[in-house]
Amino acid sequence: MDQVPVTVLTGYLGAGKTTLLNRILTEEHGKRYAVVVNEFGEIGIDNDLVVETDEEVFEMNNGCICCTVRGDLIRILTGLMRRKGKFDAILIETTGLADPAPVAQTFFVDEDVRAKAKLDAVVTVVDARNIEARLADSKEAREQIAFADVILLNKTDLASAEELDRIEGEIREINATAEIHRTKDSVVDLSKILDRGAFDLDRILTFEPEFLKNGHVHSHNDDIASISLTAIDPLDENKFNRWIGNVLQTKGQDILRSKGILSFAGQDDQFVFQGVHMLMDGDYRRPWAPDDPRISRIVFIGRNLDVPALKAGFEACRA
Amino acid sequence: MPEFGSFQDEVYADRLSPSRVDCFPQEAGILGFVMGAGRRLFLSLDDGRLAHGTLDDPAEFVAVEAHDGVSLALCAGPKGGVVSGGDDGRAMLLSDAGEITELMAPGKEWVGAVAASPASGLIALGTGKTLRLFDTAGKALGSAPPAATTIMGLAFNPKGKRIAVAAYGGATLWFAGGLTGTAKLLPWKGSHISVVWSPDGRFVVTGTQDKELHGWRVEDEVDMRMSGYAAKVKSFSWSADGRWLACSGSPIVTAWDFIGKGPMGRPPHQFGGGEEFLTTHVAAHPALPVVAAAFEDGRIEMGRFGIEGQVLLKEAGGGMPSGLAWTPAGDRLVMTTEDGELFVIDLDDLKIAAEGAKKRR
Repeated sequence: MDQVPVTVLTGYLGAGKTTLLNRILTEEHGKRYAVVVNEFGEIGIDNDLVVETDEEVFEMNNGCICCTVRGDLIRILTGLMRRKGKFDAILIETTGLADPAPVAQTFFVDEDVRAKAKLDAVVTVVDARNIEARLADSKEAREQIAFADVILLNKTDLASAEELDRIEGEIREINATAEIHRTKDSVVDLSKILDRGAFDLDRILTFEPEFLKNGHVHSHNDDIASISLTAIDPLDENKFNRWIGNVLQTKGQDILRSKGILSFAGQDDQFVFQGVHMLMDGDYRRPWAPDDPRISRIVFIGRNLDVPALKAGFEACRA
Repeated sequence: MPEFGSFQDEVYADRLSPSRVDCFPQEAGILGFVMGAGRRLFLSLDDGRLAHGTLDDPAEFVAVEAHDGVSLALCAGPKGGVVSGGDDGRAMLLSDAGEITELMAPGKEWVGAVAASPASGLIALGTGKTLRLFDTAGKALGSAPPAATTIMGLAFNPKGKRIAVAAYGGATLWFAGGLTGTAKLLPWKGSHISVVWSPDGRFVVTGTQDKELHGWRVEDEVDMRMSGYAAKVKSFSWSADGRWLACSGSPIVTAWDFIGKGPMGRPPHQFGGGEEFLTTHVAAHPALPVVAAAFEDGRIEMGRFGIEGQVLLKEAGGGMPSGLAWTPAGDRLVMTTEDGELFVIDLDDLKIAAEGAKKRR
């Protein structure tokens, strides 16, 4: 069965989430959306199917210490799926104070959600006027940046070009792989934020060279940073699985997100994987193109990343 | 003759002639159903309507408008009929005669859990975090203070005087006459998504998000943990004598033995299945110690509590099962699917066996 794509919109109150949501809903795209919101704000939502929810963060009782899920989303997504064929995609708007990890983990942990829905992208909207203050004082704001696949740097009319460059640099320090779009009134080509799935993973292979230095880490104040590791030689699948399993098991609390595209020895297909904290999911996707360099690349976004150890471990996975 | 494996018993084996499977397609997908008195059947359709009819005329069901959306929870009514809670916030009581009563008007909170008691005539609804009670006629009797998290499951005790509520952190037990007082919490960490009360009233059992069952002996609150499931357990059925609790959630049908102090320290009875497909629904026979189980591939098998072996009642095929139940006489087994099929399995010979069993008692 086809899985319904789910787009998660995060960002602080007033950043422009609801404006973006209404933009998605009112544009002529012929798609029907189900919308899940945390609370009805002052701006109405222009859609037939809107479900209001309370954030219910549940600890799983499965021995995984940092494994929390959003119980309300499990309930609502499985409930919505009973309305067979009534919508094509789902948009979830979270509050500015929501921790994105349980939202993402819900899509890894719950078998009913996994069977019928897939997390397409986390889109984070930031307000150019006050994001620097939020990054300084709010763990949630930094984590929303860290979890993002796409970031809208919004209200660009209220900041100077220098300020925007500086903000973009700060965002990049936290999340080197997310695509950043500068917007005013949340105006963005919707193809940049919807139906991303495969494309956002491809970005791992292509993100900007200055963030691509092997083992390079941006870090300040011991906070969230991104690292990227590459290997030109094919990897041994078993060695890699053992290594990544061990890394996530022992460092998963600090690793917010992990993702990679890998070339395994003896395989013609790309292996792609995504992880959230201790959970990960991987699959063979499509053949490497004949003229593609078969470079394996892996990205970690998290705190206290031990770059030399990660680099040594990754390199030891060579076939 | 169907193949019996080691399912050896003169009453069942010798008298069971080949089962006949009929299929009656309905006009919409079926999300679940409730078996009423006689051969009456209530279907929850995926367009939000409820349909009612009888197995004597399974091509002629009458559908009535119920939800602007779909039904999320369904149970047999307190005195016949069916209770349905919807994602439109509306709760409906449809009687045997086809009369519809609105228990809750549409609202923003989903009605995610319903239960009713033939003994007390009460109806319980879980609307978001709030437990609400209604009488047989559908009159609101009151509500409990909102729970900390959303109510996921409800079950009355056999007398219909107490209600078990499944939510995050365990089960709470309310007295129907004391919703303004306090509830007894049976704590267990994790999210509890369904609940049943044993027919003798001694045990409360929940299904959890962590793919386990958790049970409590009500008298002394002793915990019972029943694990090993491949998926969340969503379907339960107690044997006619109240001894066994059969469950879905794994590729093999499992049934826990609640005789004496409960199932701890005893492996469950298991039968049937393969490796690939999970059980979706279980239904114990109303008189005989047998249980039918539906699988994801549309197969139905029947086993006998405590005795090895199984018999195939329906080959794989059709849509994803959405409900399974026996007629009260135990002569027909009904399975519905998400694709709108109503399968009826003719087991007249079991009825004869059931009558024999009653006579011997």
